[in-house]
Amino acid sequence: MARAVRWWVVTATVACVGVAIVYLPPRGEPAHKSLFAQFETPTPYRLRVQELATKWRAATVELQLLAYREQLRPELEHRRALDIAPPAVLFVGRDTLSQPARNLVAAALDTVWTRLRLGVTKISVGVVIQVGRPLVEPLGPSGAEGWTQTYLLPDSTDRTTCIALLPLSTIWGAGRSLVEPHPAFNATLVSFLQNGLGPCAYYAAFGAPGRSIARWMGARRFDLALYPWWDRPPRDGPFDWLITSLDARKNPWFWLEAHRHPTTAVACLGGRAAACRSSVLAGSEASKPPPHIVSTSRWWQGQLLAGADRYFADAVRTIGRDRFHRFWNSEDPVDTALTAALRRPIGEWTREWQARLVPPIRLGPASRPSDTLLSLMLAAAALGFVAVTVARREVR
Amino acid sequence: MFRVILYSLWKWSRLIILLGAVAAFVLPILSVQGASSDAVNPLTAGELLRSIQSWGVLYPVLAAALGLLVAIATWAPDHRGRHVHALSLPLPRWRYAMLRFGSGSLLLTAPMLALLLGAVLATRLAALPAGLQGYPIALALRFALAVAVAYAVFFAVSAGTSRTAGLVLASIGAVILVQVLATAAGTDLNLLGPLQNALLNWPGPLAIFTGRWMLIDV
Amino acid sequence: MSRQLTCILWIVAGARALGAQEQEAILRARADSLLREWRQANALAGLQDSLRLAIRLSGRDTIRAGAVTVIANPSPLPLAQAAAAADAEIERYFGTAAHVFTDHPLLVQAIDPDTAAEPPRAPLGIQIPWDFDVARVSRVLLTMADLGVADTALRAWLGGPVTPVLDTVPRRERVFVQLVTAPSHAVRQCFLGDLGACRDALSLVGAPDIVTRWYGPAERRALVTVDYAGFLDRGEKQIAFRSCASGNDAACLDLLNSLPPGSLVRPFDSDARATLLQTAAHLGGPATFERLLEIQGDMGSRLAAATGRPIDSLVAQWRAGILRSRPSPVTLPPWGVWLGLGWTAVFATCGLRSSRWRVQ
Repeated sequence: MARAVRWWVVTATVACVGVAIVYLPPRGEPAHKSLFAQFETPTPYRLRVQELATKWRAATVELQLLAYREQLRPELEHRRALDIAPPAVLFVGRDTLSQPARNLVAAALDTVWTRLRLGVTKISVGVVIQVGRPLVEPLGPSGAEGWTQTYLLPDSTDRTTCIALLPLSTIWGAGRSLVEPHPAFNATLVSFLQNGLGPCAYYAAFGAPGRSIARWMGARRFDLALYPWWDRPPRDGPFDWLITSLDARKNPWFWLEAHRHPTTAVACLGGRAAACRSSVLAGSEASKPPPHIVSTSRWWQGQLLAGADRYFADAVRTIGRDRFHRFWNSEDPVDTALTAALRRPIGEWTREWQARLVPPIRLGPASRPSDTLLSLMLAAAALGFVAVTVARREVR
Repeated sequence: MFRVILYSLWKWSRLIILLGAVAAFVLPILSVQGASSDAVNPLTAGELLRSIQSWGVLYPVLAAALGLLVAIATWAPDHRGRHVHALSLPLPRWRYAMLRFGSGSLLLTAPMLALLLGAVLATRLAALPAGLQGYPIALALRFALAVAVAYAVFFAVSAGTSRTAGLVLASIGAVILVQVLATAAGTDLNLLGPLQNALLNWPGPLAIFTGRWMLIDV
Repeated sequence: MSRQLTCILWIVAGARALGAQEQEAILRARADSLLREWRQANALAGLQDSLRLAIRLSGRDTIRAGAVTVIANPSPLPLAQAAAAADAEIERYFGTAAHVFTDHPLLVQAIDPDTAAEPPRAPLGIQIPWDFDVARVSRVLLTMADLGVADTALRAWLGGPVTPVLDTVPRRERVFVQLVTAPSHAVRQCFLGDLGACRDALSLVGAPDIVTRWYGPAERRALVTVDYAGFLDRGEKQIAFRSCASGNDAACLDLLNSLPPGSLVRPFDSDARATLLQTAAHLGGPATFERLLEIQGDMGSRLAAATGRPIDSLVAQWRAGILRSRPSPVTLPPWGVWLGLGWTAVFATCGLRSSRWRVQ
């Protein structure tokens, strides 16, 4: 009997060892090839062309924003002199809006400013609404780049003005309502303008950030201070689909969305405080001076922290404006200043914030204790059923 | 008595155990083939995780298959012999059934151990991108539990009479038939979806088979 | 003191303004320099891309058959015969306009049909397994012969590539079914003989009130509340949506007119317009497409000029052709009954052989 069993064990062992020799360590082409392996990589010349195009667009946008700032300067100085709180608005672009529509935009901006409890601020904000399709460039169409919101932050030549450039389409979204014969006040327009204020709202509310905070934000392209939503409750915002898509209860394919984030962000979604801390503090060692132009191009791709766009807004709401103001203006290192403001370890606070936003996802293959218990109960029930019924069997 | 029952079950199911053990050993190794430092196009962390997740579908399938086949092998000879030999043995019926179950469980530890070994080797020898780690033991434990549950359920089904099996199959068939007729009649009645959710999603009794079976994760 | 302070402030403001102007000048010079450098780099990169493409194409076979030119990698694929067959069909369908394809070679990448074989990296052209026969390859080449490369307006009107119509009979049968069942007032009137309605349904004329010409009130309500509900039932359109759902046709019309241009579903699909083109080619002769490419304007006048006959006459001929293409109803083939009886006998035999029926 033992000899018979031995041969089977030997056969299994030989088969397993053979597989291990062939496939371990993993080498050669991966089994799951990337789709992009089928596409030809651009030549170095073509990559250089793309790099030059990006630099040209950046320089052109900066020139445009500087020009808009000069155009808005008289209006902004007039408002400062008369203590008029809401931002100045400038309409540019190939399409035009009727006067009622322009008045509506100004009224909506006033509503937003009041909602954010911003009065007359040290740093004035100018909003440039670019109506219609982006201008055709000599470089050809820039695709989605032409529709991104861009900000000119206060710099050495003007420390008291922040300019927000908001492209507005008249075919979809908030702009659609503005080209109707009788444009009406609507929530979509208000949300568009509030989102559009972006980092400028933080500058207006809390002034210029401390040097280390500014470098940190610059390295991260202000992803944590993208939307000034401190007036609205958590989980409320136009990009809620991003958060809903990460909720395993609402989206069975949540892991597809989750794995588009870096591993530290996924670990934070899984409830690991150390990873949350790393995600928040990424870029805090930056020593380069912060950029004075910030673009929101494709901000949702590669977010270092899921839902990062509302992190500071939720912090303002939770810890209060005063504490956040002290943090924002602090000259201390980032982790020190943030820990002092939150009055808790950054990782812990962020983990709880993340859990309020999205239920923690399960990492690894371990099953829930409840699943294990239910399965064991099912197995026990099955065995109990067999034990009870098997005694009743008869031979006929 | 147990040794005799164990040996007889071994004779009936050794091919299943052999193939199951080899499959359980090979599965984790194949799933990490993208995690190579020498590959021409190494997978990024996200791609590797998607690959691991795709392969992960096979773990519950293997667990269910092993449980089903060994359960059938456990009772098939008794059904063929109309339980005459079993009923003539000088021990209580429930004890006999438990000995049968125990022998099958013992044999099924072979694929479980094979999976554990394969998972440990795969995670130790694969070049994992930064931020990812292996979970060989958690995977092996979950696989063991799934095999045990599948074996227990199919053991109970196989132990029943033909009439019992017929009743079970008829019930499933009736549900499917009602669903097909309701769909053809254009009604919104949906029986299979809620039933599937109730059984396979938390807090269903079979939730252990669903979800992500990730050998490597964040 | 205040005069000094004012002076200092003016100096600071002046310095700032000068600094801003200087910054602007530097940026402008940088942008101009980048643009010049980009133009040079782009030209160089274009040359490099062309060289790379030429190198990749140099190892390929060029097969010419009439107006059709195919460039493909060497393989067992029967491209010469397939190109000849495709050319015959292209010249038959497009007539003298087939010369357009001489400037647009068809790129084909023949691939190994063995699924275990490595797929090619960065394939060039449409991939065809080399175990395809002549008929299948010829069919693939015909689907690539798109006259829309020379006339994007024609392609936009058709709603797809302008290729020779294959499978004429099934396509016309589908159009017949649309003519009878499409939920459109214009299509129904067309079926009943109103040629003006046919012109509207086939999008041959551009009219500002095209929505009311295409769809009646009930159809407009169905479009808004069913087909476009996801897009229209939200935001500031919700009130109008609900008004339309409760029967306000003016609200339905406003909502449909608010859709982005080109997104409202047309009464006929591209099959109907393709069969109209086919009818036009048949009536107008070999030079129909050539004339069509030369003429501008709305499709109705273009087709009339290309075929040399009034548009109503063309539409009437098309309609008559579609009505003649009524699909045959489902019928049981003659051998179907015997097949059913045969399988019944097989299963009955299997059942009767069961041990259950045998006396032990």
